[in-house]
Amino acid sequence: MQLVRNINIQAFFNIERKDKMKSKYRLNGDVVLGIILTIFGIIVLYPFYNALLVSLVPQHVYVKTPFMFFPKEISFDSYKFVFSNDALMGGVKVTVIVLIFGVLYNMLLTALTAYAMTKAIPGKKFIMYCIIFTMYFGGGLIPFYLLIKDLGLMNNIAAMILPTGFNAVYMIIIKSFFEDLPIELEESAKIDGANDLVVLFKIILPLSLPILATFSLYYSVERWNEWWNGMLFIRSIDKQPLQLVLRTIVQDASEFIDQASASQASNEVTIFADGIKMASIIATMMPVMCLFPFLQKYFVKGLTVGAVKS
Amino acid sequence: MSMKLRKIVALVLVVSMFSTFFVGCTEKQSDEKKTNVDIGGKSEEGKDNEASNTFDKKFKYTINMLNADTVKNELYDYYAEKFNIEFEIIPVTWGDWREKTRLWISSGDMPDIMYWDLKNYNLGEFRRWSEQGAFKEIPEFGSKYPNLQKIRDKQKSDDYFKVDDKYYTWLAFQGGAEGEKYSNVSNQSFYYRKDWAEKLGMAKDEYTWDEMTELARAFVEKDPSENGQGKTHGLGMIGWGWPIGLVEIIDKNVNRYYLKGGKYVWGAEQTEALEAIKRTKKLYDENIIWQDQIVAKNSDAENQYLAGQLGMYYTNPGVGEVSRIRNEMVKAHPGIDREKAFAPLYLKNPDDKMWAIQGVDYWSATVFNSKLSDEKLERILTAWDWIATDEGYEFATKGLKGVHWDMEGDKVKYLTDEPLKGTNIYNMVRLTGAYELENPLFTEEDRQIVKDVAERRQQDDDLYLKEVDYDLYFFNAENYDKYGALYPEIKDKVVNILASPEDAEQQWNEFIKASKPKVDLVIKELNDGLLK
Repeated sequence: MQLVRNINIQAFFNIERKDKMKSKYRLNGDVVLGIILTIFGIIVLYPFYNALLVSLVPQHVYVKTPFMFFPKEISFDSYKFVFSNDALMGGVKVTVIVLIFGVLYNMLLTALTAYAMTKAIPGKKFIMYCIIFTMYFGGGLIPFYLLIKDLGLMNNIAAMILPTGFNAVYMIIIKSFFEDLPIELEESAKIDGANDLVVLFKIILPLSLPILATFSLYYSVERWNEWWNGMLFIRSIDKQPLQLVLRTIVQDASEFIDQASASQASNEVTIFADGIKMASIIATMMPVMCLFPFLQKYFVKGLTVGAVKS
Repeated sequence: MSMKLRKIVALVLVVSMFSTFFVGCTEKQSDEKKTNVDIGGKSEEGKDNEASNTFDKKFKYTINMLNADTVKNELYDYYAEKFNIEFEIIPVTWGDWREKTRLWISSGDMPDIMYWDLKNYNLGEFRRWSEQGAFKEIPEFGSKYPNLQKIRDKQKSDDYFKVDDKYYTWLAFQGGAEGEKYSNVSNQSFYYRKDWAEKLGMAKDEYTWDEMTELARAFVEKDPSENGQGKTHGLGMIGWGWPIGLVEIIDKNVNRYYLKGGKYVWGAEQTEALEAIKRTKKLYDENIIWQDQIVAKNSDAENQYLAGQLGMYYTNPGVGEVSRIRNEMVKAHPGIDREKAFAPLYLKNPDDKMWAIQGVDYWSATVFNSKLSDEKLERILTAWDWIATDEGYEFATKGLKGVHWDMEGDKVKYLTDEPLKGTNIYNMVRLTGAYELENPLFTEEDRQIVKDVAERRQQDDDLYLKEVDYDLYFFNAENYDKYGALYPEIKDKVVNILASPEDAEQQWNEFIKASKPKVDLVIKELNDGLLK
């Protein structure tokens, strides 16, 4: 008995020692991993941090230390310039309009199409193939340009909203989500006299709010980043979206400063090309960067939700 | 869906289809009306011509433009009113200019007046579009537009853009200033810290290659600005000039074909090219060239210069650039001598020759939409002909008399502090950059050094000029269009050689050998095509 107890105690201490060793190794491993990830994090984050600093320092500090950890002197001239610039502020207005109407339009079309594709409609398979076809093949730039021109959308903000009806992938995921909802809910509504539109708007959509919120976010980010259609179809400076204005700044900030200072009251501020470039980038990224931590879970959810059928 | 709802939906669809149809018809009608307003009724052609001569009828043009939002100002109002015209300006940027112009032509949606970055490499494209009728023919100017004709007479490039002996484009002339011996010789040059050179007792009016090398070495080793050991660099270049700008001071033919013994040869293949590369490598190996130059972005060397860590900087500044860099030097280093902080370094190459580079005599081009009416073309050419007069040049450079400038005795007095903005629309006729040399809004000293650099390159007793061979520049052939003189490859290879510890000669010879099959095809095309 004593022997057994001794063996048990010995075994217990052996296990404890092994656990201690394991946890020691685990601790060491965690430390190493932590260091590696910290270095990786710094490598990833430093360019953003440096961009922020470049936007905050005067030129004479920047030319001496283009890469810095702490600014020797702070100046908000670049931001004053950016926020008082008509082109950039005009770009914000246009982008907000594109975002609001674009996301509403996208979500309406996506939900309507997804719901229709859950039904046994004639030619359903063919329609689905047609939708999937658009994921792999486009009509080409010139036919697209001619189409927009013939629709009378040249130099119209609608040219940045209407051409992208919905994203085929998002539609398919939402369709799968709709298919997972209990069919009984729909059947009981129909017994009560509801038609398809009533079922969709009063039963299906209220039950699908999480996935709708997720894809609204996806569409919002896409709309916020819109510049291509703007570049192709917008012919007036006051209708250019924010990202197109930003592109102009990033490509040739000196030219932009030169142009802008002709019409801007703040001529006396001491601004420089790289400072303006970075201040514009930070100002443009800020809304998305501020919102992202709060909305991150929806982005992650969007990658999985509705993708697997139960 | 109930039968009633289906009927309502069907009715709505039918009504919307009909309304779309009628909207389409209405738009077409209004388009036709608009066209009649623009070009005038054909039956009343004579009457319209009379009207256009007195500018009674207003014409509106669509036109694409860089820096579009600066164009509409007091100058524009004057110009538009004078000729009773109006421009709807479509903005383009450096990033999308080429892409947009190509798309517009391909889709038949060109602006009435299309400003185009037309160079030798898209000359073939221009010719094809012209043959297909995309552009309106520009009539012979003759006595109708005498001032435009005078510019055309001076221009060499114009003839290379003729298609079936007709003109379809107008090139913005950028010939040298009046009285210059060599047209359009570039201001590409080294600028340096003359204050440092004086401190080291090495300041001179002109430097030989060896003297320049010693000066740069002294900057690095003696650290005249006391930045600390290893923080002062000798020589750096603007990104687009690196490294060929340096190599071609020694051998101007390194990146082109040229005539030698009555035949075209590839410069890179000649022994002079290898010698030039070896000399450049020596500068890099001896730490005279800023070591990070091989990975630097376009303006990194300038930032080093502004930071007071670089002694010599190669760039191509006009007066505005000189003024900007000097002002920024003063801002970054309070108390510095403004003129000596950025002074031209007159450098002779190892053969004791003053090197210089000549550019082509135009920059950018304009084409007209083939649908543009004769009357509208006539009106814009009349407006352009005025810009080509002395009065028009004064307007495009100084602005409006009484508003922007006035005469004080026999001198021009400026009434505003800022240089004119939005002059691009007038630069389409001829470039006005040379006016910087006279513009009193820049300091006398800043204008003078640009003049000095230009004038030094007009003295041909010791000039090593890389002149433009127009026939070669505008030559078109399958392999020449595809490979050219292999400039990007030469540039990359030279950078590799500078950075590599291996033998320069061996690396260069291997590159030449590998490139020969392509180059031989081009040389055959050149000799067959240009030496007939």
